[in-house]
Amino acid sequence: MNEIEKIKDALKSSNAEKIVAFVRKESEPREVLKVLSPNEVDKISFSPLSLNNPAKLLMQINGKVAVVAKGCDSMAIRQLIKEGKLKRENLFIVGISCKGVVDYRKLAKFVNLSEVNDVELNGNDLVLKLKNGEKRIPFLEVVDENCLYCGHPTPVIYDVLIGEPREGKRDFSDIEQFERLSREERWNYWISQFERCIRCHACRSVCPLCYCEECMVDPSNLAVSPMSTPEEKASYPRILGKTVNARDNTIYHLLRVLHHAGRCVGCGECERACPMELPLRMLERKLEKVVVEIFGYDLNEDIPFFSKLDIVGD
Amino acid sequence: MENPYVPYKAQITEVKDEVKGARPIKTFRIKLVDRDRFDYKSGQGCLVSVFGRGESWFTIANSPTRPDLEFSVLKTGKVTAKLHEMKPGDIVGIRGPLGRAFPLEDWKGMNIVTIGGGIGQTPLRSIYQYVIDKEKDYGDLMIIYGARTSRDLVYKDELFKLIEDGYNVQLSIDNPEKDWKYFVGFVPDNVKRLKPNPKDTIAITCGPPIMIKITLNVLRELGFREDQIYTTLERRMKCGLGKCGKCRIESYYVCKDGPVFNYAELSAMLEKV
Amino acid sequence: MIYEGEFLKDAISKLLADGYRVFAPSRVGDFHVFREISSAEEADFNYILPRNSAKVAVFPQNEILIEYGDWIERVPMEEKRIAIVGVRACDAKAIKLLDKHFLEGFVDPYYKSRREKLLTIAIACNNALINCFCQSLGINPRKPEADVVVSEIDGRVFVSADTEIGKSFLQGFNLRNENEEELEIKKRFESEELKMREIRVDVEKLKKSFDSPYWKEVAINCKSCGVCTYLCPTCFCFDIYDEGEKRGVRIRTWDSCQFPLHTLESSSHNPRAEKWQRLRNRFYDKFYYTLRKGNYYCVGCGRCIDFCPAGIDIVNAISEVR
Repeated sequence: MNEIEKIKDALKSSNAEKIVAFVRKESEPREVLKVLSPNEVDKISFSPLSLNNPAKLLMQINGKVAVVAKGCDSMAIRQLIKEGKLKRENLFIVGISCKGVVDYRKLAKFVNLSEVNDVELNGNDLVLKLKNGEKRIPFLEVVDENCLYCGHPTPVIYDVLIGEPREGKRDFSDIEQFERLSREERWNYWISQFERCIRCHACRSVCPLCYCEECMVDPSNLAVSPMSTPEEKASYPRILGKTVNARDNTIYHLLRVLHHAGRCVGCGECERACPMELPLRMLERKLEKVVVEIFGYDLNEDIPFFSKLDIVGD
Repeated sequence: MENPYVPYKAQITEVKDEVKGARPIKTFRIKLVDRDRFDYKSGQGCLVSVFGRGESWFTIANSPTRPDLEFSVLKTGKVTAKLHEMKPGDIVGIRGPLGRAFPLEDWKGMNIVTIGGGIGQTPLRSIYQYVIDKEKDYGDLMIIYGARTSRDLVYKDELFKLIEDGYNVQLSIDNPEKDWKYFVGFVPDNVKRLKPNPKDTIAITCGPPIMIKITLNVLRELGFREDQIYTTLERRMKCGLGKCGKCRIESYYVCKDGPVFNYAELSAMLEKV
Repeated sequence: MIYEGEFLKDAISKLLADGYRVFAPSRVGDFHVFREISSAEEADFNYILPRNSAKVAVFPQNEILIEYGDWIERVPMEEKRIAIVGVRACDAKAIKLLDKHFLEGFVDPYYKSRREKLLTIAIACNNALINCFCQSLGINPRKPEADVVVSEIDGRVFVSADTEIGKSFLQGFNLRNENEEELEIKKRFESEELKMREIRVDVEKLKKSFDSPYWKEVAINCKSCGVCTYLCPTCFCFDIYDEGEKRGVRIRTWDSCQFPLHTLESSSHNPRAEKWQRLRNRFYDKFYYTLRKGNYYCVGCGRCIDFCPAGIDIVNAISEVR
C-alpha cells in the first residue's frame, strides 16, 4: 500500500467530523490544504509538494478533526495544545515521517511547472512525471533549505504514524557562521533584506503561533468592543505605522520574531509565504539558538518557555 | 488646481456640551479662516483634521441657510478625543463639502418626517433647520427623535424651543424618568404610535443600525415605498474622495456616492447594509 | 522598427541622462522586483514577471501628502518625469485601470503629478508563467499598450511607438525600418496566442451567487494577509494617517481589503468582519463591482495565485462559482 492509501485508511479510521488534509491543486503540481468532510477522503493527496502547515487551520474548526501532519506540523500542533489553543482530545493526528519538502520556487527553475503531472521522492532523487516522460533532479538541489536543519522529521504527537521514524538533528552551523561576520556586515546584510519587505504581513498571517487578535505592530486594535472607552482607543500604542522602509520593516520583523522565543516550531511557513523571499527562518533560528544556549530551554519540554522564565524569576 | 487632500484652515468659535458622561457629545461651531464658507447641502459632510491625530468624517449638523459650520462629535477615538479637548480659538482643518446630499430640491411641496436616534439626529437637524427656514417650499414637518435617557438627547434646547414655537416635535426616551412629559419607549414604537401619513411624504431616518432596521419595517407597514425612505450611512473613511476604498459598498463609495441613500438603492445592493 | 543592440539598457541610460526617475526590474537573488534604479546595470530583463507590479512607479507604497507643524508647511509633489521600463502587457493595462480610478471623479493630484509625466516602455511576452491568464481577459501579451513596445523575436529587437511621447523618445535612437520579412515575422508573433490558463467570468452567475456558502468554502484557508492585494497591479486601496504629534507628516500607504482593520470603525462595528466577506469583496471587486467603471479590474498576471500562501486561486474561484 502506498503512502497516500495509508493516509486515507488512517483518516477513515478516525471518526472525525472534519478532515484537514492536502488536496492536489488544480492546474499545478503542488498540494494545498483543504477542509473536507469524511466522505471526501478520496480527494486527498500527499507528496513532497505538500508544503503547508495545517495547524493554524485547525484553530478555526470546532468538533473532532482529523489532520495530516508532517514532523514540523505536529510540533506546531503540540505547541498550540501547550498554549491552550487546541485540545488534544479533539484531534486525530495522522503523522507522517517526513523526508523534507520541496522549495516550489526552486523547482520552478528546473522545469516548466505546467508540464509536471506528479512528483515523488525516489531515493535521493525527486522524480517528476512530466507530460512527456520523466525528469530526475537530485532532491538536495530542490529541497526547502529549512528542512536541512529539521530537528523533528518524525511527528512528536500522533495517533497513527506513517513511514519509518527518522532522526532529527540540532544544527546551528549556518548561524554560527553568520555570527562570525562583523557587526557591520551583519547589519548591512539584514538591512538589505528588510528593505525589500512590503509588509503584506503574510509571515504573521501564516505563522501558527501568531494567533493574537491584538498585534503590537497594528496601528489600531482589533480587540476593540462596543464597551471600549474613547481614552482606551485613543491611547492604543502605535509602535510603527504602515510605512515601508528598512527601518520600520526591521522593527516589524524583530518585534514579531521576539514573540516566538522558545515557541517557533520551525515549519518555515513564514519564509515560504514571503513573496520577497526574506530569510526569516534565519532570524527565528538565531533566537532558538539563544533560547537553547543561554536559557537552556528545549522546545520538547512540557511547560511553555515564557512560563518557565516566570517560575525561574520567582 | 486645488488639492482635495489639503484642508482649509478653520477656527473653532464655539463649543457646546450636548451630552456629558462616559460617551460625551459636543457641538463645535467652526469658521473658515482664509475664505468664506463653501456652498453645501444638507446631508453632506466634512473631514475634520487635527494634525497629529488624523481626520474624521462628520456630517454637517446645521443647515446651509444658517451661518458657519457645525459638527456634533461623539468622543469615540483618537481624533474625537483630541477634538473634545479643544477650545474656541483652536485651529482645525476642514475638507469638504463631501458626498451626496439629501435631494431637498426634489422634495419641494412634500411633507417631511425626520426620525432620529441618539447622535443620528445630526443630519436630520440640518434638514429640519432647512425646511423651517424655507417653510413655504415644503408641506408639514414632523420631527421624531429619541435617545436612551433625557441626558442623551442632543440639541435639547433647540428642540424644546421648537416645541414652544408650535412645531411638531415628538421626543422619546427608552425608560421612564421623573418629570418626563413626552413618550417613553423606543423610537420605532413612537413612529408606530404617531403613524405619519405616507401620502406625499418623505421619511428620513438616522440612528443606531438596529433602530434604523426596525424603523424601516414600521414605515413599510405604514405604507411608505422604499424610494420615500432615506437614510445616511456610516463607514470608516479616510480620503473622502472615493479613492481609498475603505467606505466602499459594492461600487459605491459612501463618502462620495453617499452617505445619503434611499432604501430602493440600498435594497438593490448585493452586499446588505 | 529594428534596433541593433540592447534597446532596454540603452533606453535606461538615455532616460537617466534625461533626468527621468527610472523604474525597472532588478534582480534580487533568484527573482526580480520593480524598483527605482540609478544605472542601466541595475536592471535585468531576464524575467517573465517581476514579483511586484509596476504600479509602484505611479502609486508608491508610501508617500507624504502633507508636512505639518502648527499648520500645513509643505505639500510635496513629484517634479521629475518617471519612466517604467520593461513592463509587461498585464501591468501596462493595469496602469490604465489605475488611471480611471485616480483621475476620474476627484482628480488625485499626487497620482496625476506622476502620471502626466510618465513614459512606459513595455516588453512583449515570449512565454507565459504557470498562472498567467491575461488572454482570457482580452489582453494580448505580445502587444502591450504602452508608449514604446519592444519585442524580441528570434534575436531581432523590434521597437515601436504608438503615442506622441513614445515617438518623440524614439527619435534619439538609431532605428531602421523593418524589411518585408521582418514585418511578417512581427505580425505573426503578435497574432500567435500563448498557451496559458483561462478564466471564465459569468457576471450573471456572480450576481446570483453573492450569498452562496461557496465563498466560505473558498476562503476557509485564507490567512487574511495582504499578498494578493499588495502584489496586484490594479489594487488601489490605501490608508492615510499622521506620523508625529506636534510636527510631522500625513502619510498615505497601501492598505488591503483583506486586513480586518481596513474597515473597522471606531465603534467596533466592522462591515466585513469575516475573512470570507473580505475575500468575496476582493473577487467581486475585480469582476463585478468595477464593471460600473466599465472594466474588470483584473489583468490576469497570476501573482495572487502564485503567492497566495493558502493556495487560493482566483481563476478557479471565479470560473467555478456556484
